[in-house]
Amino acid sequence: MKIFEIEIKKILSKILKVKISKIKDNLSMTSYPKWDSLNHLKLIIAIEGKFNISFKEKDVTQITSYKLIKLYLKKMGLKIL
Amino acid sequence: MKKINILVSRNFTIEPLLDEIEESLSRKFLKPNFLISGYENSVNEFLNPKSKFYKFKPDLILLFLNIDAYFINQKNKKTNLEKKIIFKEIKANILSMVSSINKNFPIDIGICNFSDPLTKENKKIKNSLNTFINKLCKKQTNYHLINIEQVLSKVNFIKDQNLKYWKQSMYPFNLAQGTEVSRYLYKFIAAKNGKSHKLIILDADNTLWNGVIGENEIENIKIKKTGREKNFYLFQKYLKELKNNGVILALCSKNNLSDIKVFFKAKQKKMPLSIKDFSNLKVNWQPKSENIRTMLKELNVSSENSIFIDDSQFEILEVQNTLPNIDTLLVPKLNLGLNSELLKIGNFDISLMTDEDKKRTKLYQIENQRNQKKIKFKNPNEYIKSLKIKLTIKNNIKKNIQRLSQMTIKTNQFNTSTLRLSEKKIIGYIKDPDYLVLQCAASDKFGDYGIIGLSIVKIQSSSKTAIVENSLFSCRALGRMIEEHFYQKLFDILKSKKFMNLDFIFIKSDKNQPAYEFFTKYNFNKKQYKNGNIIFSCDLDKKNLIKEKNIIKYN
Repeated sequence: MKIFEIEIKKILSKILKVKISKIKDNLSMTSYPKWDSLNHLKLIIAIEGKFNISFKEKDVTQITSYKLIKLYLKKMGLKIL
Repeated sequence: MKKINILVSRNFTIEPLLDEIEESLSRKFLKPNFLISGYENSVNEFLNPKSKFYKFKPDLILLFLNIDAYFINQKNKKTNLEKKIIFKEIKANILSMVSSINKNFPIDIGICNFSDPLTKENKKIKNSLNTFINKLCKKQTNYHLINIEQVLSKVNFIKDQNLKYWKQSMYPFNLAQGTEVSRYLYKFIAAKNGKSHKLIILDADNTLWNGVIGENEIENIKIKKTGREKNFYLFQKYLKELKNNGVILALCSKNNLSDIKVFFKAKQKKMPLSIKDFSNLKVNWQPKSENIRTMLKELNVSSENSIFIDDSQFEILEVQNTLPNIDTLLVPKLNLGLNSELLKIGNFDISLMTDEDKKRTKLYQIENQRNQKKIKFKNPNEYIKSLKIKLTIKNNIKKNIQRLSQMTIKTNQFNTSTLRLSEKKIIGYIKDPDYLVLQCAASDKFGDYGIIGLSIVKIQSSSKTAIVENSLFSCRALGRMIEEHFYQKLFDILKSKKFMNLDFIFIKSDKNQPAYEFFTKYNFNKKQYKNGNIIFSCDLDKKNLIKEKNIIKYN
């Protein structure tokens, strides 16, 4: 399935209250304090809902940066345009 | 935007639900401000007057408990005896929490029942606890059951997803469950703030029946309990049920009125709905947005309390463009699934309907008769006299308490302070010797208006001034000298108790200009009060609101 990168960015922007233009690969749980465990859960729920996918339980704790989100989405067979 | 402070006491993660709730509430001009407890027991915070719960001054408290959260650190399987002990502990915990809330926060409390546990062995405890919660919620009028169990019964449990979120963050819902629970909670909060749906505005052709009057022969437009037309029949049946529970139905369609009347007459034995079920008809060729605007004005309902249902995308968009706060529903082909869609977006809050609500369609029909008569009179006083209005004013009685509380929630225009009061709070005023609680009912030759007025007056025997903390009038009775007679009666009661002055505290809202104009019209003295509010005061001996006597009689 093909998805647009902007769709992922919009989810991050809404939940983490960060400007879309500021979302780069290095945006992560460690670099951005608002990305706490609760917002992480919200992100996972929103991404799963938006793209109709389900991350593996063990992966959920690994997806801790924007770069990793894209990586895991690709792993699940999504093509990011 | 009206701000509402919502205190959430919980033992599991609920945060992912809140964004959606907040977004939906903002469409109804409500801005929730949530204070969320920690995961541990909140009893101490409810009991401690210095806790952040008190400082927060909640308008509504929600209790969310999850059965699995009680077992999260207990790995060994429990014996039946141990389970019984745990059940008793949870029950005692809920009871102490609710009683401490009830003692210190006389406001509405939403108590959520338990959803199915992740481990089946705890299902029995869950069922017993839910029976207990059901009974608890019936004990007090300010306790409200948040029936999560029922909401979730309609959505599939997805083991992998539910377990994943739970293990990750103690969040017990999967995606679809989260959406349903958010929607339910949004409806609950909206309804508690007077934002439930009061009015359904319906298109006719291809919405109420399958076919177009004027294009199809009447006998070819069928409504049947079975077959292709079944959904239309079921939809009408559901509408009829809602109407019998106080929801107003109105018809807004592009047809000839005479054709519609003929059609309803021809189908009267076959359709659940009759033309009399509609409180307002706008059947003409004008733009629907214009018709709906007029309709809302005539029925005195705001667009945010209404749903418009039509099978045409064009009509839906045209209405949405003009009235952005109205909820809309596009009829699916052959009306497939419309009932469940209406259930999803509709917030009819039938549990809160009072006897007054159930009579609403009749009340509006009577009002139409009054309006037709009104046209014949040039002098408004002559018209009022012809109505032969009789007022019944009662002081400090508990009768109609549900209606009184509901009026404080729903009345916006003639409402001096817009204080939303729970039944418990009003009962508290009635029992308090320092307060007078006056309620007013009216009837005239056309019929009954029901309970239409309320004043809550603080009377301190030490002072010669009484203070009206809250006073309101239902819009359906305004402009008929009823409010003047009600207040004059209040003046007489206070004078008999040797009071000399009366102050009305007036807290300005977006909508209560009509109340403001009333006090200005009758030259009450205007003074500044704390927090930028106003006091309208009068000397009881000098104030007379009734120039012409015997227009209205007291029972």
